[in-house]
Order: sequence, then structure tokens, then C-alpha cells
Amino acid sequence: MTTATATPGTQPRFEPALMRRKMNGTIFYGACLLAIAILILALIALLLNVVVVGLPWLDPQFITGMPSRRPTQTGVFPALIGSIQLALIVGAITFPIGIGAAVYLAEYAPDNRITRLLQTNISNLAGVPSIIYGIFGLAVFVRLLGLGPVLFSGAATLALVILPLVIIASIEALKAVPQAQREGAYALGASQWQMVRGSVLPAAAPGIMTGIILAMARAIGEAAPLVVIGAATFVTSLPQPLQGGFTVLPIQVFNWAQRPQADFQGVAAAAIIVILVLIFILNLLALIVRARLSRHIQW
Amino acid sequence: MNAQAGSTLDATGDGHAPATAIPTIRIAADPVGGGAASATERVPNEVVVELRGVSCFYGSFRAVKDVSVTAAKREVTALIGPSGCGKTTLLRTLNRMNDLVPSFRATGEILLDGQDLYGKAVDPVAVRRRVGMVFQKPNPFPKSIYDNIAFGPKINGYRGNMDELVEQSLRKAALWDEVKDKLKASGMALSGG
Repeated sequence: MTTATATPGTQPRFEPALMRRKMNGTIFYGACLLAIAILILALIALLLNVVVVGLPWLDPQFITGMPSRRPTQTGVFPALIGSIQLALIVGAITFPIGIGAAVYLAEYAPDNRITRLLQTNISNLAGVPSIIYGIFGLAVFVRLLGLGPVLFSGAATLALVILPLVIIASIEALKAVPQAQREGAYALGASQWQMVRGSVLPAAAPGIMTGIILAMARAIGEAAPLVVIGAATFVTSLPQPLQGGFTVLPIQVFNWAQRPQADFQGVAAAAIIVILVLIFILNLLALIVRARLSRHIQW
Repeated sequence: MNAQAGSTLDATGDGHAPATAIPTIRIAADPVGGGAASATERVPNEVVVELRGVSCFYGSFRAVKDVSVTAAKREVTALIGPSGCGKTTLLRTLNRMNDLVPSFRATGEILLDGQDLYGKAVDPVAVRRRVGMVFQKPNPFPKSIYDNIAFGPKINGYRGNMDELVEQSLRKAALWDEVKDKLKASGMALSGG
């Protein structure tokens, strides 16, 4: 900080330039408005296109039917059940491993170079294209562990895809908990685990759960790694996690969208609507879980 | 007043004013059973906390410099000093709370009932069980009012009737009538006053 060096006799002058400052504010406000307008327009165009093309094909038979060569008789039931099973297994794997790793890195690990290196690497993993995970999953789960191209192999691979996202989101949530929460627990004679369990985790839970559910929504929408794993495109039986072929909604969309017949474009769009509804339900769940876990939190 | 503050009074040398002589005020608790003994003829209470030449460091910054002071049983001892003079640092040193600050280091002797709190075999969790602390800012956990009060006893393995203990504690804090109908409400909804 430098002190004012006004020479004697001259008053320090201000140039308020109020008009210019207000104008700058208006320009910034306009830019933000433009950004949100572009986003909303793109979203509406996308949704409108999908709904217009797909809605005529969406009927109860489409939801509960098996795939067929004829677009009028085809259905997404195996793919829908496959996607739901996949989401459940991905969640079951991601939940303990993701939270465990995040709690270790945020609460237990010493703040040293190795920890920072680990954290940077996890952030980098979040940016690795998902198809690379597909190749890894094919090598490890399908071949090395001999599970074959089953639903569980796909779910385990997708769990690896989203784990970095879950861990990073959870670390952020844990770090956002005020230090006073930790000290409060310690002051009552808590051990480190009691402090984490009783004070930090409840405070970070809404953020952690939001991260996990949003990551699961991403897993539901993934197709590329599952193509590599060997998800079938034509499945007429309900998938079983550990045996038999499986398919999921994005793979089904991918398959139908490739067909030359125009009708299958409509069927593909209808399947996209099903995915969107599934993700919408998941996000709604995230909202409810978040509200429930936050009911005691008022910083 | 029988404060025994540290001897060195020079605050110069490291560019700031560490707490060297923190004035302490003692308010003797009334002897149980009615005051037969007045404060003047009272024998001094037994010393519980004793600090001998304690200095506290955050990295190379010395926040507390060479403080020697005692606190006796059944007395209220107050630390007084200007903002930033090290009162909180000194207090947090007494229950090893500063262990959570990575760069923290304390020198000198800090004795509780004659036992060095910073001894090698001393478990900080065990220390904090015995040396309680109420923070400057209210610090409720993100739990219900009931669970906030039950947290301390629960983690320390309380085996008695928890409902009773919670009610008793709230009554002692003169809060029972205000919160008895909303024990399941958030502890963070309570006002700090």
C-alpha cells in the first residue's frame, strides 16, 4: 500500500465517471443474458427436434416391447431394464469407493507432494475419453477376469469412467465444510473417525450425493465404452448382470439411428425421449436427496 | 488476584507483539455450603493448569512468547488482552486444538494436574475429553438439536439414558422450554445468543 503523495496545495482529485461505470455494468449484464439465451435456444431446439420426431412412436407397446426388425413393433424394454440395472450397479460400486477415496484424500492424507500428485492424476482421469476406459474394461473385466461381455463388465467399466468425477465432487464438498465443524467435534473428545462420521460427512453429504447422482446420469447416457465391451445391439431377453448379452438405451439409439429406413430415425428419437425421462427422474431424485440431507444445514 | 504472569516483557525483536504478560483475573467460586470463608482468608485453591515458559509458533511466527501462568481448581480464570495478542492461541494450546494447524509448534511446559499435555505418550483425544472448549462462535453440527447434544456423550461411550441427559443438559442451559417441542429440528436453526 502506498500512501498518497499529494503535493501541498493541490487537492487529490476523483474522476467518478459514473456513466461509464454504469455502462460497463449494463454491457456485462447483456453478455450474461446472451449466454443464457444461446444455451436455452440450443436446448429447446434439441428437445423440440427429438420430441417432434420421436413422440409419434412413443406408446406403451414401445416401452414394454422387445426389439423387432419392424419399426412399428419394436420396443426398448430390454434396453430400459439394462440401463436401470446398469445404473444400480454403477451406483453400488461408485458410492463406497468414491466416497472412501475422497474422504481419504480430503481428511486423512497428509498435505504433501504425493497427495497433490494423486489428486492431479484423478482430475486428469476425469478428462480421459470414455472409449479408453472401454478398451481397459475389455482387457480387464471381459478378458482377464473372464467375466465376458456381460452387464456387470459394462457397469464396472462405467463406474471407472465416473469415479474421478465423483471423487473430485466429493473432495470439493468435504473441503467446503468449515474447519470449525472439525474443531467442534474434536473439542468434544471425538477421534478422527468420529469427527468425520459425525460432523464432516453429514455436512458434506448433500454435495457428495449430488455429485454421485449427476455422475450416474452421465453413466446412463454413455455408449462408447459399452460398444467396446461388446454390448449387443439386438437383445430380445432381459439382461442378467453376470451372464448373457445385454444392451442399454444409448446403444439401442446408436443402433437404430444407423439404419437407413426413416421410420427407425423416429424410433431412435423415441428411445432418446425414454433416456431423457430416465435422467430427469434421476435428477429429481438428486433434488429430493439433496433437500433431505440439507435439512439440518444452515451455514 | 494472584496472577503470575511471565517475566519477560520485551515485545521487540520479531516485529510483532507476542503475548508475554497476559493479565489474568480470578473469580473464586463460592465455596459449596455457604460462605464461611471469605475471599481474604481463603487458602489458595489447588493448581490444575500450569504453564511454564510457554511459547507458541505458527511456522516461524511466534504468537505467544514465554508465558508462565497457573489456573486453580474451582476458580474462573480470565485472559484479557488486545486483539491479536494470543489469547485464543494460548487457550487452544491447552486442549491440543492447535495440533490441527499443520505449522503449529509449542515450547515450554503445559501441565494438567502435573502431567505434561504435550508428552510423547499423551493422546490428544484423551486430552480434549478432559479439557473442554466453548468457541468464540456458536458451532452447531448439521444435525437435529437432540443429536447435537447427544453427540458428545455418544462418542464418549455414554451408557445411561440419553433422553434424560439431553433434557437435563437443555434445562441447565435454560433452553429446554424453548426447544422441547422441536428437538428434531436443525441445531443450526438456534440463534447464537
